[in-house]
Amino acid sequence: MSFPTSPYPRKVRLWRKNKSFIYNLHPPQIPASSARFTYTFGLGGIAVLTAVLTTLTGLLLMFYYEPTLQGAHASLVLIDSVVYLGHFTRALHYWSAQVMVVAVILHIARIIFTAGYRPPRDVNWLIGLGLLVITLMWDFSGYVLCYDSDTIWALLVGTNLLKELPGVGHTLYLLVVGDQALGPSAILRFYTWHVFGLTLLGLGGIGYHIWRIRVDGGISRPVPTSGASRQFVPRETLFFRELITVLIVTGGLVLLSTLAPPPLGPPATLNRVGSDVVLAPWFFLAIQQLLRYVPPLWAGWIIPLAGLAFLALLPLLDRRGPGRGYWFAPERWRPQAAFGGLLLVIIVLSLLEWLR
Amino acid sequence: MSKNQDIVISVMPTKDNFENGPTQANTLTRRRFLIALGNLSLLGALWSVARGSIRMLTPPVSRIPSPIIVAGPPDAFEAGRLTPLEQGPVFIGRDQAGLFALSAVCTHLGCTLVADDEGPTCPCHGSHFSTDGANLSGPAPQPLPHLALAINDDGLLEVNLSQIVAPDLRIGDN
Amino acid sequence: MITTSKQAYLFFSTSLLLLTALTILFWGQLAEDWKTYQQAYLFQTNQPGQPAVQQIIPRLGPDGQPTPDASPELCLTCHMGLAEISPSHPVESFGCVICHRGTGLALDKEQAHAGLLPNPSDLAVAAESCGQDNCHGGYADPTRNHVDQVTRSLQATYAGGIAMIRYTFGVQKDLAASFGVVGGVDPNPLSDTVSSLTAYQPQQDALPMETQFAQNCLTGGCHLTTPPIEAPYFYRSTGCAACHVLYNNDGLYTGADPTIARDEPGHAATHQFTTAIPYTQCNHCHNRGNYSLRTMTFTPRPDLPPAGPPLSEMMPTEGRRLVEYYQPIGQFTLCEWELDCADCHTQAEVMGDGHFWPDQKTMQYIQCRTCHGTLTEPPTTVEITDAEDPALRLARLNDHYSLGMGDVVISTARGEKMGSVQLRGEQLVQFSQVDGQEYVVPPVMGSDCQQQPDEQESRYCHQCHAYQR
Repeated sequence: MSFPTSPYPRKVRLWRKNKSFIYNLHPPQIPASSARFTYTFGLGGIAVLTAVLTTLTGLLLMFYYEPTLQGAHASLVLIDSVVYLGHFTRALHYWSAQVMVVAVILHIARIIFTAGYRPPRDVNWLIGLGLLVITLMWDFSGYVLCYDSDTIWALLVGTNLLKELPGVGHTLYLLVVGDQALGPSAILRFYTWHVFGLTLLGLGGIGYHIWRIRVDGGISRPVPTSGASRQFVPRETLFFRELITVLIVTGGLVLLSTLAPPPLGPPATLNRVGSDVVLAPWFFLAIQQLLRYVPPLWAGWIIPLAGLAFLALLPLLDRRGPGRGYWFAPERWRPQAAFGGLLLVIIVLSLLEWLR
Repeated sequence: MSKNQDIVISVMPTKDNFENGPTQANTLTRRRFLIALGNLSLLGALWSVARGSIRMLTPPVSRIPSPIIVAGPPDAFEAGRLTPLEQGPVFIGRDQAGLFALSAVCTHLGCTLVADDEGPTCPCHGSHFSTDGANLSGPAPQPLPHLALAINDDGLLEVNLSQIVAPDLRIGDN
Repeated sequence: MITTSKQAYLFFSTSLLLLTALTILFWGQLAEDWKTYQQAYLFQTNQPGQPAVQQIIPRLGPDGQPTPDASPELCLTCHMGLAEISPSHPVESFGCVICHRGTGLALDKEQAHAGLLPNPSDLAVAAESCGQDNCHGGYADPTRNHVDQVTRSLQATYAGGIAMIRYTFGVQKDLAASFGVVGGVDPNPLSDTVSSLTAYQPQQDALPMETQFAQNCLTGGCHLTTPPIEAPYFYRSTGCAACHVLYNNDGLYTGADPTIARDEPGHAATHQFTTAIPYTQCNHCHNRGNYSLRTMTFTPRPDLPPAGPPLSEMMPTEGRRLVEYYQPIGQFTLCEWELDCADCHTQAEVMGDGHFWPDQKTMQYIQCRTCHGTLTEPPTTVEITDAEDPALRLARLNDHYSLGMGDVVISTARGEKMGSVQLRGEQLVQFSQVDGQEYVVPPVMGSDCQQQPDEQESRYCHQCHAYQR
């Protein structure tokens, strides 16, 4: 580092590292045990990266997508077929969104397996669960905006599930769909939520979530034992590790988007079913399986919300004791087993539905 | 500044320091009364904004098109099978007594049914119905309703998707 | 930030990964299918230029009405070189999607062909494409609803054949036609037509020969709704295109569209409609062989492919017409060789007139005397006086003869006007609809013909006028 001795700098600096925005968002140093890749796997960062990628590709798609009954599918065909790199932009938008959902779920799993929700991080845990809901709503609303014959049933069943809620069901349906039945208002409202409402909530939530990490004392780690030397990792190293992760994940997503673009079915029509197989979006397959056997209020609302409530209550049930900062700490086997069981049940139900 | 002198916006009056020394916590002073009124007004403002927003987002008009669809000439529908229509989720069936219209909207969560040989089935959650609409298996809670059928002035069959009729009602070809 | 070589290697390899991924992406952009097809077409036709997306914004929308906000159709980007289907269906007005459906905005083959009707004139789908309102259907005047007429024509219902087979095997007690390949109801039957036909679907308990008949003869082979036998001389389409889209005898495509294989039989000669239908087109079904009722099979004639010599060994063109036209079991007059089928057989006979005719004998009514007259009566003629006369429209559709107001043409026994047989001065002249050649029609009145007045069927004319093979 050289300090300019005259008011006029002798060489032109492209980037003043010490004064750059993202660099200074990082703490000057963090404990080495928090910064290990095999501790966090960078999942929270991957979630943020994929959120940013989805937002940027989404902005590009907004120049062509038309949220109208006739225009929705037709504009997507235009994007896929004719717009230069349109199919790639849509594929990248799709894949970074799906990777975001996976990263968020794995990130929650990591927090549970390392007791990262223990106080003082319990408020941030709730914020994070809210972000999970926002991410799923983002994915769902984007999924139905394709408005093709495979996804229209997800929109129909999902909005009809609103009507199952006692008392507020019909009002909620009117607010979400914007009319008595699916039509032009539904597409516009889902589009507005997907593009703006959820983005405001999501980006704001992510910002608050990250800020609270610093307020709560950084990424969780084992309680330091007295006498042991404490190692720190400077923010330069942290920034470098994040840069490598960005390069790898972005490269992988670009490759995935080029080689495996998402399909687009024929235009949606509610009057006829196109095929005999109707599948919910992959993250709701378990709910579709439940809906076959369990009344809709339970399968669509009570059971999923109970699962969410269980996750929200974890900090209350597992407040103290050893095990914070370690993966699979045996003293904390109960919450880990409960979460593992919940995940297993969801995966099994999803596979049952998918393999029909 | 000590904590007690922070400006607190709260409904409950708290301990504060006045010129004559601290006042008891549950004494209603002028200051506390005014603060409480101010808080209530703000709450009232917030509440009216919230109600107004919800009312604004509640749709004032409906853009759903007319529920009457034209099915076609009556003799295009043959006996022994439920013919699905392209213009709306409804089956037209014919038995010895005449023509009838069976709703093709699953009574579970609204998916459009597929006409199988044994009767309509729902591809979403696997409900099965009989050819006259009874819910045989699966999560559907109710049988399929029959919809109002009529011959219009051009001699074509017309279905009213929003009008339910008795299941034994039939109409003739003219 | 990067202080060690390990970090530098890591940075280099991950940036390279990203760059490689982007390279694969941009490289894939260069070789898209539609560019390959266009380059093939431009190369074949020696045209300069780079591949570019071709779009058409059709003027007409569904139901043949002008529509202001039609979406662009990019079909011609890959199918560059495809001929315009006909001058009556200009592609700038119609586009492609109005008939063929599909997804016009897509450039990917699967996406573009989703919902496509490769043959929109197939009778199963013709009502939604050819038969749309203001096109060939939906008119108050039934003679303009061609899709309805063809669907009820004898070539579509096969009513007489079905009745004959069932009568022969004792399943029905007379020759009355009650079944057809397609069924339906005619609200205004004539005295010798049937008011309704039921779709013919032999049940499980029918005679084995009935199910065999339905299977062997009515679901494949020679029928307006069935695909053809895949052999030379049999290749054809279905529905309206079975007659109006010409196929070569070898079934090969000879147009300029680079996406259609030139060596794959089973394609039309070019993507064009015509009303100048030569005998070879009719002979993709007719005069192809014989059936055996005993075995319920069809035996192709032995003197032509596929049973006979291959196409490459066939005799040259001059003698071909005589051999190819009719089977070597019949004898016909010279005009039945020289003219094409469509020069005599009328529109009502071939395309139907909306009624369910019970059999070919009752339906087919054209006779030699319609044009040649009898010993005592000249042929019936009529003058074109109405500017909206269908005969004028038909003449505009055919390049090989012309018709104007005030022209005098032959009128058949059922009142159809034969626009290609016209009175020129004192002579009756027939213009071939296929090549425009003029034939003078010799009248019977005043000739040495020795016909009996009540023996007017063609077999009586054949007794003297049959052309020896």
